[in-house]
Amino acid sequence: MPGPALDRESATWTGSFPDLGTVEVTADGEISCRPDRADGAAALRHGWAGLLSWAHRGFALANSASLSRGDRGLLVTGEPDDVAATLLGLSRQRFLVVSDRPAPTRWVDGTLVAHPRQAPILVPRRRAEQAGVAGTPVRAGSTAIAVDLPRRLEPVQVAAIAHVVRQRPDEEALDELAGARRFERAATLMLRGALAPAATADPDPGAVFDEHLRLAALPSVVIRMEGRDDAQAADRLADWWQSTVERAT
Amino acid sequence: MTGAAGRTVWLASYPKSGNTWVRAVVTALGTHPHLFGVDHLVSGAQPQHVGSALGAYGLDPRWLSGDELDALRDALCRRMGAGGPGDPPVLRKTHERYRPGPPGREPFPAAATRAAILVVRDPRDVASSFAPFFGVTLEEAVAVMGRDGGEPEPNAALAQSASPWGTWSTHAQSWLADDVPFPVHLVRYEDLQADAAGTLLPVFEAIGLPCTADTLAAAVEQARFDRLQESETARGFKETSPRTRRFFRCGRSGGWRDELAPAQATAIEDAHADAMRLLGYLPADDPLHLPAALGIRVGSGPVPAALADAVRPRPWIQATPTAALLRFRGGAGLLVEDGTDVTVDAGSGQADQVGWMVQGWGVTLAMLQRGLLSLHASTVVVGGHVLAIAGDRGAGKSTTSMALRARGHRLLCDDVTVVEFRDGGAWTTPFWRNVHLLEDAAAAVGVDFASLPALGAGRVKSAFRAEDPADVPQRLERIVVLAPDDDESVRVEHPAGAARLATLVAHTSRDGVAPVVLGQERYFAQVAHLADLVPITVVHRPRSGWSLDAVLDSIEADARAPGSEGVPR
Repeated sequence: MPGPALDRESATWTGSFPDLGTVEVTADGEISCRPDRADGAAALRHGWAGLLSWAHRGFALANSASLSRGDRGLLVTGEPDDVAATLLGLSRQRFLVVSDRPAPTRWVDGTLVAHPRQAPILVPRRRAEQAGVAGTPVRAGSTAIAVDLPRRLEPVQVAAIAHVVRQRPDEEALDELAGARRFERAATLMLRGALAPAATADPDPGAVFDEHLRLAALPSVVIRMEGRDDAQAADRLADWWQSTVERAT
Repeated sequence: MTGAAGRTVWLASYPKSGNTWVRAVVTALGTHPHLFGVDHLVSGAQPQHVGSALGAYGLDPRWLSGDELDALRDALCRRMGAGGPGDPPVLRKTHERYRPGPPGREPFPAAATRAAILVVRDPRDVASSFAPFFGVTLEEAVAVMGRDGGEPEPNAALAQSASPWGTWSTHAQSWLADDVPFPVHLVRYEDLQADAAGTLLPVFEAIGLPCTADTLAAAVEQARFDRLQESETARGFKETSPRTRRFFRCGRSGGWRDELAPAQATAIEDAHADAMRLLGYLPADDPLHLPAALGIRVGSGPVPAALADAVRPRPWIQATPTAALLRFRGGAGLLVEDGTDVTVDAGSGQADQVGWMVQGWGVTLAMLQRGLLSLHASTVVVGGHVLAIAGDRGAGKSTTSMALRARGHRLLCDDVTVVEFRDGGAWTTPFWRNVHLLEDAAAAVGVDFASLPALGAGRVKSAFRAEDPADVPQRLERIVVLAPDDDESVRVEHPAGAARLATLVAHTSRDGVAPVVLGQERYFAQVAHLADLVPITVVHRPRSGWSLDAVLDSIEADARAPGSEGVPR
């Protein structure tokens, strides 16, 4: 098979992608990468082995980026372009990037903690140029570039979740979620399958439901971007954060 | 065709062609009615989105090159479509055109594919729906549908492989090509509207989707368009474009006739003629073609030199109560019998002459034999009013009609207006036929005369195909008679009383054929009835010199004048 393959059955997880290379991840998170081409080394390390390493060590990977301001963390989900725009916008609002997506997390005494992941932060080149942020192409011909944004290097307690979507006519620009809608969003936050935490690769339904409930207890908001170039969307999110998280704490 | 081993069934369509409707039916098949809603439609995972690699392999596709994205897409498709013939199908929406790929880089891997369902829709209706959905003008929609390229390229930053749509034509043609290595079931949106369950049942049976006639009928009912609209209003629809309020807009066929300007419709027809003919959206490129609704059968073969028992035979036309025989220069002949059967003897003529004979004379004679009146007139909608533009040979009917069309009015039928009396009015059902233009008339209305097929029968005209008319009856509101005379300017006259009858008799009978076929008494009764029902305007124009704009102005002003609602003045 010419596509990627992953084996999580052995103690050491192995992955291969013909023409890109192979990766190995041990149970304690050590990684080794053997790229087929020189330009594939970073892709294997940051785009594959690094992620598997978090999962192998028992971290849950959220399908979101994580940020912080003060001592509280924020998870941001959405389409890649919209999340990138939000990262760039929030970094102007004193937010620090904890992790580009996916974001490693772990439950500690009923609290969700986001952990810093040091991999480069990827955004679409067009989006970075628009924001006046310089970057480095990750691969020849790729539309993704790595940008340098202020980072947080310590874990942080997650205090809220934001979902960035495109605004349609007649829709509110900001929609604080409650009840079933908050639960529905929470239920799709964590990545499963290959990036499920090693110890809970096949969790029982009760545990999954319990996690969804705990995630749904966090304040959650839908931020709607008015077009893909809506620079104010991140500002609205920052205002909401201030009123909902910072004032409350 | 080979392969067809996997579970994937590609639900392929150009955007705004009914793909989501079919998905709604499939969703309804597997959902309790109380739980059904457009916010949870199945089969929406499009193949170019490779973000699922995170869950499948733990791999972030944003780090990949374009070639690696292709390989990843291939692998994800195989993974999702793995299974055998006994497994239920996995339907997956795609707007991409079909294209093959090298092993390991197939956009639609044959080994994982059971079949495809290609949903097509009249491109003129697609344009009407495309424009508001994507927030572009109709002109832009027409341009996009005709432009190959400009669609999404591989975009690693967005975790997307390439997803080319092609043009509206190349999209459909790509899926219907012989080298597609799995079965492709063609479904027309218009057929779904007419009978969704009947259209889909054999397709679903072929792909192994569990359903019966009863369950499918219930699903179709559940996914009725107005219910989808209600569901969207109540619960939203995540697939709605950010640029539009509604995904489920109106869902009708033929709406383009009210929404597209004639030039826009023509641009689509010109750009996509081959595929439109292939899919039945334009008459087949066959000069003998006539719409089935006319109920005319056309054959070719020798016709008799004369008709026995002909009433008042003339050298070029002979008629009995049930048959009419026409003779043309060059030896061509046309025999029309019983209002239905047309036999063409092309003589030394060319195929396009045969079309001209059938579309003009064949239809006229058949309708007269059925007791209907066939006016030598074009049917045009001017300012919302249905007019017949009548006149003798050379009066300028086609030129005037085409010029009105160029001003944004709708040309329904050139040169023949079949009239039926019912419900207290005169009604005409237009049908497709070429517009015949002289060179100077073509130039005047901006048509490239040299590019059109020449029309024979001794006249230097070309055949221009205008847009298809709706084959629904139209109430005739006014008859405009073009009358070239020796006046120096355009003059409008509204004849009254007997003068109306005389005007119709003088200007609307195609070379005096109607009284021959209908019989004098019946013909005059019909014309008198028409004169009684429909107002008449005579537009006198100078026989020499160019007065087209003034003629058009007069017709437009007359159509707008009081009394244009079908009440004789």
